Amino acid sequence: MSKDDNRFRIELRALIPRLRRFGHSLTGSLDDGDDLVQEALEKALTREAQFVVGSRLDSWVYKIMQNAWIDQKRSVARRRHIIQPMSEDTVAVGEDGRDVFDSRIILRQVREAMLRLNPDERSVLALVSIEGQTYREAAEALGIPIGTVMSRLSRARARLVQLLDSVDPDPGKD
Amino acid sequence: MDRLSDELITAWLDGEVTQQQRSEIEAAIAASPELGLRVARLARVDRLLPPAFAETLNAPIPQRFDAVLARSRRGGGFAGFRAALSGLLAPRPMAMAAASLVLGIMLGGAILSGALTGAGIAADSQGRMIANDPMAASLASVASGATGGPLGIRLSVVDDGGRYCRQFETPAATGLACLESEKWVIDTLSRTSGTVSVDGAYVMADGSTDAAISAALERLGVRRVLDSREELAAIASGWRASAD
Repeated sequence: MSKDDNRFRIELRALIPRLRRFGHSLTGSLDDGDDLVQEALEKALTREAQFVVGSRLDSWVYKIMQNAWIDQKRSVARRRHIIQPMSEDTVAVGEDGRDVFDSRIILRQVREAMLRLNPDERSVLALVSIEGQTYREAAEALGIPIGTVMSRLSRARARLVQLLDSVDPDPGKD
Repeated sequence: MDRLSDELITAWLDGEVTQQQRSEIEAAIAASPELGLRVARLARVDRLLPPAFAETLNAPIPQRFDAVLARSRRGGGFAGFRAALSGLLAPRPMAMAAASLVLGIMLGGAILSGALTGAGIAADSQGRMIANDPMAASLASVASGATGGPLGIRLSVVDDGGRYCRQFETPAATGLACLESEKWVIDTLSRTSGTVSVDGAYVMADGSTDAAISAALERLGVRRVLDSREELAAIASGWRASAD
């Protein structure tokens, strides 16, 4: 173990807030997301030798997290997330038109809508729109061609618009 | 271009189009209010995503992750952890102001001559060495790397028992003190074979005392090393915040 190794840990630690965000956006839950981060950190530390110095550590760990998430979802033992209908109160707020735009409510709607995307679309949207990865980096993390990143992203965004329109009157229509 | 694919609009939103595609898309948007509305809706949901998941960004890092990082440091035995800490434990000159140097030598000398009470160390009913003031005050208030006082701190950690422990040094001794029931218990104390140079800087002659501290850390187990921000927070709270 060398000084570089210590540096690796320090850089990993610095990534934790973003890894937690990625876990949150994939799983829809802070706790489940943190479980994923922990698993990814453990794997990253045991696989440190495989990390190419000079490449992006964040992309590398996102990839580990993404794979861990897919493995979890495959696991039969894993409890199933039952997707709830979009929250009633988010629909009901329309009585007072202005409240619809309460940012907390809208942001919760966005989180709920994110959970209703299929996992492939959710991953790519999380990596590009939330984590700021380029198409190339996202393609690398997900092990898919760039063209597939584009088509999944496009479907994911269109679906989000549709989901949010169903609970949130389009501001452009007033 | 009268009908743009959603894919192309998506790529344009992400800045992943060629210069030529960009010009074409922007011209098409300018020419079609309907297309402009479609793009605006796609862009809107995209803008909402980062704030929807921003909760963890400014939150403190949960302890469980530091535990993972610290645990793996010890993987393959303590040697690995010690090596990882080499930067922190490496002997280095400690500059000290001349006035406090005298006090420091007195403190160190007192500890080692057995006149422990003079230095602020007393034995408790269980035979443990307990730091009293002024040593206890220094242990509680000095930040790692601070210079000029009679007692310097090299490192602050949380041990496997969940206690805060601090490696301290005086010109004549180095040791490890751990906080237990609001008392700093001296776990290890070791004489340094250093010398004092003419300009008042203290130079450690060899690494043998570091080995004693490393052995003590190995015995206690290190859950994690406090970074400077955590250490300052602990000092500010009087070391009352839970170490876990």
